[in-house]
Amino acid sequence: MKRKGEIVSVLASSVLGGTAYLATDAWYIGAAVGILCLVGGFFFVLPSLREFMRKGRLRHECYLFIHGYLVALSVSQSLDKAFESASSPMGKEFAALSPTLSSMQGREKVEYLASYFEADLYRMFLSILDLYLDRGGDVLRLSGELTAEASRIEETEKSYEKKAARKGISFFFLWVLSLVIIVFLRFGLQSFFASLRHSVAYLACVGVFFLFFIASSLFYVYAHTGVKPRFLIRKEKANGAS
Amino acid sequence: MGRLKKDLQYLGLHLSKELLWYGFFSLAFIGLGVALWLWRGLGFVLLFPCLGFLVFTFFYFTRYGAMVKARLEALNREFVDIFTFFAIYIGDGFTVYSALSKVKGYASEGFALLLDGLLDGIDKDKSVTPFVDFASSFHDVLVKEVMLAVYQMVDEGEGGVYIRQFQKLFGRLSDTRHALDAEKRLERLDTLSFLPLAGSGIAMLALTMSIMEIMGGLTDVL
Repeated sequence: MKRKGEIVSVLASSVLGGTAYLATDAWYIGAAVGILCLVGGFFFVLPSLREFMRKGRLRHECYLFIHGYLVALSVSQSLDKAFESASSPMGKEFAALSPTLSSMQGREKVEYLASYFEADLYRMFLSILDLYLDRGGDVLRLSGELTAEASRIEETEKSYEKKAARKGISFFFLWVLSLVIIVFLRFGLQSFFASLRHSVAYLACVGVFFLFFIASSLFYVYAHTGVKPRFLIRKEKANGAS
Repeated sequence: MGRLKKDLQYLGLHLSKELLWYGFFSLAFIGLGVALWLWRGLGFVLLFPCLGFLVFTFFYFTRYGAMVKARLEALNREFVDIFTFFAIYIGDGFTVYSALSKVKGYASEGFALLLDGLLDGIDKDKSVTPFVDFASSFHDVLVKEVMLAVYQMVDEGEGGVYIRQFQKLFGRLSDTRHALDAEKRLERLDTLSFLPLAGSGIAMLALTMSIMEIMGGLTDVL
């Protein structure tokens, strides 16, 4: 199940390559479309979506952790108990950090998580924690602005994700309709098709149609995720190095 | 042209260099057109480089305005991010000056330079001028109001009333920014919904051009 994205990508590329072949009767156009889809899917769409989902998950975990930690700290006045309480609703990736975290002290543990959450708000949370440890006082009052901002971000992102998913589905269906039109040219106008399949203008137009489809899909994914290809290259290099 | 020059200046780009790139790409389109003309003669195929050139020209020259807008928006967004931390420090009893110094650690290089300018200004000039100068880098009126509230905190003492005034204004700015940000991202997705329709347009064009070509062939035979 870990490779679900890759399987979907291969299936979608095969379907699109097949559609291009159906529309043109030219194997080279079908193959080119299939390969381009596969390359776009493997090297841009999948890494972008994964990075987008990873960021979303971390943002949500960070929000939960900060809230849980502050409330538990306010009640128990103990860094270890607060950490334990805030860690309980975290995901698998967070749980994988347990062996490393178990050998650390209260303050050290939350400090270590700064590299895991990669969020400015988390750094701010650490500053407030330091302030609380230095001066004391009511930690919930000290962190009022921080939790308000974290909630604002969480609410906005949740609402955006819901609406963006709806828009993504309608974008996908509109493209399916366009693909149906292109396939219709072959089956709806069968008497013409024998001449059409030799027309350079027709083949070029269908080629441009599929190129446009691939480019617009990649652009849509970029607009939705905001993940730049340059970042992906750097990330892949870093992964390769490790 | 004046607007273009202004945008290029803001972005730190040179007009001559940009025109040189434009000329280079234009020549590539002309070369493609000539190659197609030599290969296929005068025909529909020549429409591709012509349309490509028009689309390229449109996007090439409109992108500067978009880049300026994006940069200003990014600056505004960073203002809200950085001043969220400022609000937290102020709420925790820091003075305006020390809170501004503290938040510099969270700022990007460009924003840190603006904060340095503000801190230098506060050192030299105790009037509202450094705050107004700092606010003039942003195009949002609310930012100017927030900066005036920050100045009042310095000028009238950092008492509760001014903190609450600042927090209220800043909360409004932050809410507006988050809402606008999400709205803008959704609008961007909305504008992309024309792409499948353009795809259908290309499919229709394929059909029309091909039928016309076939009809042309039939006419030649007759």
